[in-house]
Amino acid sequence: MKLMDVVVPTGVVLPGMKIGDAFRECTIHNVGGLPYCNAEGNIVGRFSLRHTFKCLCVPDDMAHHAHLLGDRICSESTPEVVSGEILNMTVDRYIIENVATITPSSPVIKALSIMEKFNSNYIFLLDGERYVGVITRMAIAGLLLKYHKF
Amino acid sequence: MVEYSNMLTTDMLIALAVMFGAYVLIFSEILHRTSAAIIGAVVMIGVGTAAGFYSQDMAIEAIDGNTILLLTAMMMVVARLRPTGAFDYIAIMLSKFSNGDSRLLLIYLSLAVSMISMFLDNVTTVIIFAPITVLIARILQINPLPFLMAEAMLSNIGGAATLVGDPPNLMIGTAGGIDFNRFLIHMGPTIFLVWFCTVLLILFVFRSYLIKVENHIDLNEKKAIRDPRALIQACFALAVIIVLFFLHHHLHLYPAYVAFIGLCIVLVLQRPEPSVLFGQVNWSVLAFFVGLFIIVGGVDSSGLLRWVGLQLVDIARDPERLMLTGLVVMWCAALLSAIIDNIPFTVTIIPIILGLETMGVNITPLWWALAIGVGLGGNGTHIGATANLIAIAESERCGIKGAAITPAGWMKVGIPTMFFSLMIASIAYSLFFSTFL
Repeated sequence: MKLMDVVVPTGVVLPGMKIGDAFRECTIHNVGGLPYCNAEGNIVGRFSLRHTFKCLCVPDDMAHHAHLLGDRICSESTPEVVSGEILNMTVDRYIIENVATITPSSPVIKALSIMEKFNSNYIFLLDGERYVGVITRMAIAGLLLKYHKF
Repeated sequence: MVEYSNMLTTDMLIALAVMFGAYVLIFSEILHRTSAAIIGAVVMIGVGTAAGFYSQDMAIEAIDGNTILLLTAMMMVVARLRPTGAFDYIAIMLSKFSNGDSRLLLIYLSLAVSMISMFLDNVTTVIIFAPITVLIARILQINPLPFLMAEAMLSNIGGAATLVGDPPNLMIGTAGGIDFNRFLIHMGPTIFLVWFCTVLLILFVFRSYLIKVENHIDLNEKKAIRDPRALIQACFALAVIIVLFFLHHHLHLYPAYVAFIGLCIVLVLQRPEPSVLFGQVNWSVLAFFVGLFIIVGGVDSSGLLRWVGLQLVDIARDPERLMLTGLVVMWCAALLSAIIDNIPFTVTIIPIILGLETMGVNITPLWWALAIGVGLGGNGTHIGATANLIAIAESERCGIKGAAITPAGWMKVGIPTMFFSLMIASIAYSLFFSTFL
C-alpha cells in the first residue's frame, strides 16, 4: 500500500480567504484540515476545522466541562455560529503554525505514527516542495477495506 | 560556629549581595522564579563556603522540611481528589441554590472557595473553581469578573485562617512552633471578621454587575462525579488529614507527617499510577521554596539577619510599643506582599523575628501580625498572590465581553479591599491584643 494511493487532492487556504470557503473545501473532500500557503505558495501553516471551532465557539471552560452541559445552552452561547457570521470571517487569525508533512515514499505506518504524535486525523503529503494532498485515517481505512476486499 | 557581629561585616555584605541579586532575578522575571532561586541558592552556597560563613551542610539544614513535605503530600492528595469532580459538583449545586440571584451566587461560591482554601492550597482551589465559575456565568449570561475576583481574594483571606491554608502560614507555624489549633484559634476570629466585611465590600463594589437573572443553570451535577468510589476514598483520606491536623500537637505529629498519613491512605486505596501521581505535583513551587530557604539560610549564617534584629530590638523590646511593632509588621508585610511575592518576604523576615526572641522580645504577637499581613496583602495587586493571576488568566481566556480583568482593574478593587481588610484586622488586633500575646 502506497501513500499516493490514499492521498486526497485538495485546494489550499490562502491569506485573506473566508472561513466559509475553507469549510467548503474541507467538506467537499472530507478532510479535517488544509495547508495554509503564503503568497509565494509555500506552506506556512494549516487551517484546521477543530482549531477553528475551538477558537470561535468552544471556550475552554465549556470544553472542559462538556460532560456537564445540558441541551439548552448552545444557541445562547454561540450567536456567531447560529447567525453564520463566522463564515464571512477570514482564516488568518485561526491558522496553526505547526504542520505535519510526509513524502510519497514514506510507509503508511509512518503516516499513522505522525498523526498519532500530532493528535491529528490528517497529514499533508509533499512531493519535494509540491503539495500533493491530504492523507487521512479515513482514506487509509477505506483503502485497506478495498485492498483486502473485506 | 559563626560568631555574630554587632557591626556590618564583609560576610554580611556578600550574603546580602547574593540575596539581592537572586531577588532581583526573581521579581524582575528575567528568569523563571524557580530558576532564579536555584541559581541564587547555588551561588550562596559557593560564595558562603569560600568566605567561610556557609556550607553545604548548613544549606541542607536551612531547608524547612516540614513545609516542603507537607506541600508535596497535599499536592498529591489533591491530585487524587481533583479528577473525581467533587468541586464541580459543589459549584453546580451552589449555583442552583442561588436560584439566579447573582449576589447569593457570589456569596456561596466565595464561601466554598474560602472554606476549601483553609485546608487546601488556595491556588489549586481557584484553578478548580475558576473555569466552572466562568461556565456558570456564561450560562446565566452574566459577567464572571466579580466572581473570579471575589474567589481569588476570599480564597487568599480564607487561607490565612489556618496553619496549612497558605505556605507562609506553614513557615510561620514551623518557625514559631505554632500548632494547627493554636493558629486557628488566634487567626480564625480575625479572619472571619475580615472575610465577612470583605464580602460586604465586594457586594457593594460590584453591585451593578450582580443582577437577578431568570436563566436556568443547565448543568447536570450528577454527571460531575466521575468516579464515586475514588471520591469516597479521597474524601476519607482528606477527612483523616483534617482530623489529625486538629490533633497533631497532642499526638506529637508534624503537619507534614499528618499529610503523608493521608497520602498513604490514598495510595493504598487507589493505587494510582506513579507517573500520573508524581506528574501532578508542582515541583517548580517546591524547588522555588527550597532555593529560597537555602538563600535565606546563607544570609542568616552571615549574621546579617541578627544584625537587622539588633537594629529593631530596642523598639520591639518595649512592651508598650509591642502592639505598635506588631501593627507595623502587619502593614509592612501587607504592603510588601502586594508588590512582591509574599513567600520570599516571609522566608526572609522569619529569621529576623526569631532573632528578636533571642534578644528577649516577646515575638508571639509578631507571628500573628506577620501572618495577617502576608495573608491580606496579596489582594492588593494582581501579582500579590498566585491565585489572583489564575483568576486573571481565566477571565482573559473565557473571551466573554467585559470579563477580562486588567492589572489596573484589579488594583481599582484590590487596593481598597486590601486597605479595608487591613483596617478591620488592625482594629481586631488592637482591641484584642492581649489574646495575641
